[in-house]
Amino acid sequence: MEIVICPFCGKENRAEDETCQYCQARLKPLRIDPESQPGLIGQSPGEESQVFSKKEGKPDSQDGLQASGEVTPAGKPAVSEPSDWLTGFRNQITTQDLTPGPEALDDERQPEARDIRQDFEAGAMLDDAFRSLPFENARDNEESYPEFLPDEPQKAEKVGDVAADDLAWLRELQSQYNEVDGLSSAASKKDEGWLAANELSQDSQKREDERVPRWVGEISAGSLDKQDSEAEGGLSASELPSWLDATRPLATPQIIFGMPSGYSDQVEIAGPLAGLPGLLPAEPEIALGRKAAAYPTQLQVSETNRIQAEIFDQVLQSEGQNRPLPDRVLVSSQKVMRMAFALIILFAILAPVFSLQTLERYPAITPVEVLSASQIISRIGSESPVLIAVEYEPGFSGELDAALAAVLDHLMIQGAFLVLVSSVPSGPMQAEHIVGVSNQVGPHQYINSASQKEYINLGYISGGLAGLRNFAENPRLSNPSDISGEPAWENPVMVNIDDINDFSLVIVASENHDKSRAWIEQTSPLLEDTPLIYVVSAQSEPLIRPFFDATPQQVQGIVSGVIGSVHYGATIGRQGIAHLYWPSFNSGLLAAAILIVVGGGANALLALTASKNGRKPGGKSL
Amino acid sequence: MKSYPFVYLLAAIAIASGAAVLVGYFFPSLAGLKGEMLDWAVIFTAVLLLIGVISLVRTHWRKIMQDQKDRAYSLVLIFSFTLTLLVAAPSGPTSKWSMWLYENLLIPIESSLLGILAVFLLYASARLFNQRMNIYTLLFIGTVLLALLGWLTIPGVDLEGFKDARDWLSSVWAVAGVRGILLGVGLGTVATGLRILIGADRPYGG
Repeated sequence: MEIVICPFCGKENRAEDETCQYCQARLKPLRIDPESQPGLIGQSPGEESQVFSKKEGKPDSQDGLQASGEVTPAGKPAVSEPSDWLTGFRNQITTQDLTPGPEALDDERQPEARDIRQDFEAGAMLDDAFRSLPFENARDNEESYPEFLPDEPQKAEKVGDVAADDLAWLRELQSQYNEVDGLSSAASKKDEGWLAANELSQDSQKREDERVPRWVGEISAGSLDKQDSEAEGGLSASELPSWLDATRPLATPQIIFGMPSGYSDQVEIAGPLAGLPGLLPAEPEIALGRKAAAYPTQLQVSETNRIQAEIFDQVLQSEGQNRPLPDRVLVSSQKVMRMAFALIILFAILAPVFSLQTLERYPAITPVEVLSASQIISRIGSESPVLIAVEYEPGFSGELDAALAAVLDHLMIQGAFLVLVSSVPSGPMQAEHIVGVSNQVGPHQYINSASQKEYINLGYISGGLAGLRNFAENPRLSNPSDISGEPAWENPVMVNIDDINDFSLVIVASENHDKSRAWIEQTSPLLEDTPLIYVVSAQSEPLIRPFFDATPQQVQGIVSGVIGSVHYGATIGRQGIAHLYWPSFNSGLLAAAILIVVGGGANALLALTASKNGRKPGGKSL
Repeated sequence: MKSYPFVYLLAAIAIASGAAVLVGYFFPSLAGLKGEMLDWAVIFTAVLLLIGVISLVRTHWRKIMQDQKDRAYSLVLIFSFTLTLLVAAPSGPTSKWSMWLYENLLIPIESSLLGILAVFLLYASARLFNQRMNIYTLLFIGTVLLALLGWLTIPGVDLEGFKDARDWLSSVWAVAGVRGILLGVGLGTVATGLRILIGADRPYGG
């Protein structure tokens, strides 16, 4: 069983583990492109030599070479016999290549140094040529060896042994090196192994320590010393010198903080993040667990929110509580007061009927709209067709019958031919009713019979606004017969009527503002010289007045309610239904005004008293 | 709009009908088409009135049959409808008995309702001071009193000042307010007509 010693905690781990099971430090280096990344950060190039076999106590790299049948002398490590040319090549690099010393700058040796530098570049080309050779085992070992160490014994020997027969030109190049560089040739002749070469390289590295980082020097020096000592077999792993042992990362783990250059090229090969590049290493400080942040478990609320929550809670609790129902009063004060108001109004209305005519006084000044309507009707000749639209409901007949009856009375006196129509379903019957009422007012009797037709009832106009427009444009087609089913347009008076403008006068009686406005909108454009008069209730009079005040006038006269009827009767010197209603109407107005003043004052006093006592107004009233 | 072909057909008919009537106002040569469309509208409205009567009777008949609450009123309605139909159908709506029903039942009942309404309005006006005592209440009640007193005539008392004030209110303030209402109604009517003409508003469904 192979074990791996963690370079950080020094504990043993299994060989297949990627990270230390004790400190989570990475045990195997990340896979790096050997050409672009000369070494791992925090790991020496010879760190793979720390993977030992428990049986033999030798590095795996050596075991691998032996197992693969590489040519090695018996009982002697392969690294102890580097080839001469490779030793000289290494010495040249360590002594003269990139760090020329004072002796290298000697004027006499400058041409030689230049040649050596050119040869070094040729050696780099040679190295590339070696990499291209199809030796799988050698290539595998190259991947685990850092590139920045040019003097690897195993690599040199392996490549040299395999390619020695075929690469004779290399020997020629080696001889050229020996001729140019005397120092290198002398070193190659001595054949003192890796220790002598290392001494020279260490001397040259001492001069380079000022330019290269300190950790790079420690890694390269420590690893090389260790490998050389093992290759010679003179020292065991436990007998290393103290200075060399101190350089081992086993005793002094180097923890590099931050993100070194080249990590973006690293690829994770283990764990769930396998295959992802640019990951942070599982360094000990990252692997350390952190204490979870403490969050307050109590809800942070403001004072306003707390008060609102308490109010809401109180509301919810009060929902479940039973509330006593107030005792039901059989006869409340409001009901009594309503009865009292009704009795007072009823008395005020009935008092004039029972000969208590103390308030019998008619208004004197006639309004201009009533006077205008009266003057227009006064110009209506006998047998002139007058269209009358009865557009009010039966409930308003008390007020509008009085107003319309005065106008119809005037028309009957003038001898006009009445054409009644309505867009209200109950309008045709209302029209018959108002003709009957008007007949009772005066000495005239308008009759609609087969032998005598003084008026005609065209009945109901269906279709709403469209029906009104259709009737205004073509009344013959809209209502071809009267309400009894007889032909309506065969009467001599009606023969010349083709549209609404052919009537001598149009009168609209309505309590509804929409109906009144519909007649104005649909018929006014067709009424060129035909006047339009409205008989409306008192509540609709302000809504029609703008059409009368307009210039030009769209409505030429208005008779509104009981008061308008009284005024109209005064203009023609007749007293109609409105004069019968007037005493009761007048006393009812006075009673209503008194009740509003007295009742309103009493309720206002109650409200003020309640507010002084701190009670809510409106709880108790008259 | 729902993707029913029938809905598109309805919209097309409505827009075409509205456009035909509208164009008839601008071009007298197309007045015949406009009149034809108006005749159709009148006929359809009359049919709708008949359908409404049938629906009213059917609804109240169902309430009676299902023994629902207030079925007594439904029974009165069915009885009145049947009686009116039996009286008016043979001889017409303006016959002697039809007019008797109208003048002795319909007019008194509806007039009584309006009379009760007058009493309730009077009582509510008096209570208004107890319910809401503010400047608007005083303004409302003051206007009502001014209108009532402006109509009032009392022998021996000169109330011409109230009459002048009432006329001023009616001819200035009321007319000014009504003019604004009429302008708003006119603009709303135009907007509604345009919406129907372009199909944005479809009261016929869809």
